[in-house]
Amino acid sequence: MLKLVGINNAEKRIDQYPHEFSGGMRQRAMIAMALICEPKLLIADEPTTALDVTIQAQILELMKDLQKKENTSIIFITHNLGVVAEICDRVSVMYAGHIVEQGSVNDVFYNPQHPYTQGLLSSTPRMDEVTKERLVPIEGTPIDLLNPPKGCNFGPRCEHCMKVCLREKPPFVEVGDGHISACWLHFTPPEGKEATEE
Amino acid sequence: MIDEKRPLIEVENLRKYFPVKGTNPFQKKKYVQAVESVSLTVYRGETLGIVGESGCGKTTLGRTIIRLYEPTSGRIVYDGTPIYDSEQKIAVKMLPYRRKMQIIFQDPSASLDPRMTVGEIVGEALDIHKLCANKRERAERINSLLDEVGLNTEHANRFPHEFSGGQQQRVGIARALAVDPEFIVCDEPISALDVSIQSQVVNMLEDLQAENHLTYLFIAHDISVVRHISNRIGVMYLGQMVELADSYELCSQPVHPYTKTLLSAVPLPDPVKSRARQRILLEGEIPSPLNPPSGCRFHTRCPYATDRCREECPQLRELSPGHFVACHLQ
Repeated sequence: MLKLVGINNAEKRIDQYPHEFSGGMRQRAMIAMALICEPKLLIADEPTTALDVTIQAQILELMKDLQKKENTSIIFITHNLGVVAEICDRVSVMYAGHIVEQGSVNDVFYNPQHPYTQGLLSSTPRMDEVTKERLVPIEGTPIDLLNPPKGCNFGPRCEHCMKVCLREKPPFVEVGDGHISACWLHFTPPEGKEATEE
Repeated sequence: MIDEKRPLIEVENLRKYFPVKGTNPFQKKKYVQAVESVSLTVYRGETLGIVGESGCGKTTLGRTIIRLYEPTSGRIVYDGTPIYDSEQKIAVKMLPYRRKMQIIFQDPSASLDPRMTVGEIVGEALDIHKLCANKRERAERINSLLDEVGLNTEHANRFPHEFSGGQQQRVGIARALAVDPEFIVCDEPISALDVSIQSQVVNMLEDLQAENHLTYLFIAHDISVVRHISNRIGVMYLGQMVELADSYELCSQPVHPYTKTLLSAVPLPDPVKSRARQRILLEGEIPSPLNPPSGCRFHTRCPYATDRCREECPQLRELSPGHFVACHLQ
């Protein structure tokens, strides 16, 4: 198993303690632990966040490989949009305890429907941008989950916030094939938007 | 505005070694070679980005330049005046220079004293440098600083733990700005922050630079952020500068094999592009700076390493105007 996750000298390494391993090796050992009983589903909670980009690239390659070999489903939890774009088939975007948008990776990245997803994408600096444009941040800070707002959780930070957003939670709307988004904007005809805006 | 003719900081062959405590007193003392012979120039008004993996000496370099760490050897010149020179035995008193050089620390929750209010934290620098004649002036200055970084004046009486991570970092920035510096080392100022907050702080740093004519040394491991904010970027590996160039050129035409690998490992937030590109995967991990490899420090992981690389340490050379690289293959 240790060989499968790419640990050299597995015969010797098997008798060592975790502190003798480097960060990348430890994460490999964790993956070996998780996969040893051949699970059908693997939940990977920020598996690469603590790692450097070159090691992150190694771990991502490893996970893709193992997925093919073992035919495992993976729930990959991360805050890094680049990693999502690389490894995932479908994406769920969460904000303050709710899924706000879900769809295939292409739908969510090229045709984001929820203002929060749009905000996340536009606030991330990209390696492939040609000109240096100013970043468009999402204003405000994440909400206090002890006192969640009455309406849409993202309402207080949303630039398109309307009266209805502060009153009621938005339902999911199917905006494309298998692409859902929870936002009141999908109900408002574009012309009438100005009238209802606060 | 970048003034290419007026270097603000010139660093030559800067070294910083940290002694390691050994258990055997008769053994030869060991040193971590955190920064090994780094030379660079920071021009007035520019942002010089420093990238590299963890443990490559970025933070040590930043702290040694402003002499929070005493250099082991080398030469640092600030605005024409040498402030440290190991050969001529110059080591000036730093207090007057602390007004000109400041630092924003990596982890805001760890770098702010939990027993001081925000007003005291920001005001401490004003007291040390005696910048305010009386209490009223001091209070006004603190308020205007807090306002400048997007905090309320009533925040001055609160303690750091009452703030969110993004607000704590704003306090850290206000503290650095208090003495009205010319040069700020930004040591991973956004890595501890949430993604949606990162861009707020990046924009604020850009605005403050334009308003106060600041020069930044921007240290981060996230290349996409460094590329966004910097005019030029230096890439470090195991304590050495391996490539230094204009940020756009470095990212579009990297020369050093390590830079190429590093760039190809950065995940792109674009599914089609990120799956289409060919990625260079490195074997193994960073060697220990306690016992760095001979010759080029990258040769143990470099796919193109030759015998020469194993024996001889490459020097940083100017390949094309403004594009420096340390590699034998070029």
